[in-house]
Amino acid sequence: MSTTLGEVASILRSKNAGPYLLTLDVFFDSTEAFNQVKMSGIITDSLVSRCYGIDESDVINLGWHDSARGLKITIVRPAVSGSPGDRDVYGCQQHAPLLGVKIPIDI
Amino acid sequence: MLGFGFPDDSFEMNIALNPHVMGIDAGSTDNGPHNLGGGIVEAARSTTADDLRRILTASRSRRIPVVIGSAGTSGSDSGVEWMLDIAHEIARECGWSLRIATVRSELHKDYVKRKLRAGKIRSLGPEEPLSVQTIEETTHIVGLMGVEQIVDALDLEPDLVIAGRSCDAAIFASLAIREGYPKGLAWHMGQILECGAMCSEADHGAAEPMTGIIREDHFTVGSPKRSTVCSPSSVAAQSFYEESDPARLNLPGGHVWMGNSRFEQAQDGWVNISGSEWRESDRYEVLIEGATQRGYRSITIAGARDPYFISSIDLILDAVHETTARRFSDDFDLDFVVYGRDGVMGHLEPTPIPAHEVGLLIRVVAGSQTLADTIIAFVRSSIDHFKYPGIKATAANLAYPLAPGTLSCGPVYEFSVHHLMTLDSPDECFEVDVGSYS
Repeated sequence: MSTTLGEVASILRSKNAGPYLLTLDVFFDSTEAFNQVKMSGIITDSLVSRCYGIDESDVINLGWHDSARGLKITIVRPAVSGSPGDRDVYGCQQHAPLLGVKIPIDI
Repeated sequence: MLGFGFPDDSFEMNIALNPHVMGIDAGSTDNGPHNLGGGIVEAARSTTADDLRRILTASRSRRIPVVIGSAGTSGSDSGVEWMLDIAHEIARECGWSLRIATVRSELHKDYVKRKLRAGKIRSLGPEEPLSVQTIEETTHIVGLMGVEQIVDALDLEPDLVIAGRSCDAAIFASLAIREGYPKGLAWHMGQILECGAMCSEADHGAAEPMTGIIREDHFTVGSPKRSTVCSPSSVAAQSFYEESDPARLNLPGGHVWMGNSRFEQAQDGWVNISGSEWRESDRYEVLIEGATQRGYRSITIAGARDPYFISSIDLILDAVHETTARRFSDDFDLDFVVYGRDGVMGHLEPTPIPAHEVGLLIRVVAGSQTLADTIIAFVRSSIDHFKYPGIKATAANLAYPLAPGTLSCGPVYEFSVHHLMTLDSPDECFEVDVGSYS
């Protein structure tokens, strides 16, 4: 059985972390869901780099926060916020590729 | 956010809890570099005055101070002056005498150059190292203050503190730290309160006021408004908001370690938080921000519905880009944003498949408005009359929703400074002042 990260997460969002970084937050309603996703080993720097077509070195942080049942992934912005080539000044619509990530768990 | 309104009912209910301080954020870099680069205030003057009048009416009758952070959006000196002028006008209108403390955060370029030469400025990560040339090209540079500078202002016993560029959390943490509460808890409380009810489950967003109550070993956040319900996960989510690391909040002089933070449901939709630790660093570093003018922008918005045009769109846009580069020898940026395909995510888009119609945003940035207007007119006409292989619609290629079809957008800015600067003491580059206004 499997599900998707979008199905199992209660919050999945992106936002600027300052003008140079983009941060993706994923939260889970239950400790069980959080633990299963974390233990599945699916979410890695390499997965993020494949989802977004970026170098792994541009994934600058991927961290789990147990007490908050949250996952935070921070990547380098493709263009600095508000600079001539930027497309999303708040960085709030860059999360969609994570929604479809398949998680081999049954919740 | 000051100037964008807040609901009367929850404001009254939160005020009825008799807080010791009221705080409101008035700025950010989130809207882009133009606020700092051009001294442009995001909120309207009239709505800012309306909000401030309501806040001051409530705070004066309770004799509590109000702290406004990042005045005038950018927190530059012109933003602080703008806010001071509004507060003065309110004082005159209402017949009040207001004691107002200001904390200025704009930095002189010579000072920043001296700090750079002394090796006191470093990059955070993806940014280029700062150079003297970049400092010279930057219009305004501000430093983000922490709590120490707002505490200095609160020591002057003002009715109102108007702070320049501030860490959002400092607005709400300063009084608690001044009163001797643990820094880790106070800063974490500030981080949660800075976006209002975004820390709650209900869909109230940042306009809704919230209250934090700090004790020696924990703090509690929530609202007396029944529909504003906080849960451990909603509060935890706000703890991470706009930060790059899930366990640490980097702040002037140290960081809050949230790896051991506990979030527990309390009664009536409030949440207790404990375990957040302050870890002092060996130096006092502040973030400095600056923006510079890059040029002038012109844009065109258009749509296309022809399937042959859509299937050839990259070929067409690449060819027009090349023709334009040959036609104009000046420096300019031209890019095309294709909505309905990869308009929102660009290179990050994993499925760049066009829909049956696409929107096209054409953007030009050049050295003068005239040049940007000239280039965009050329680009527009070139696409309109481009004869691609298999073309059937020979009239024109683009549907314009606006007439005139091109827009002159004025100056364009970009962030040029986003670095960490070490101070010898927290008050080194921030100027606290106080005066009476009536």
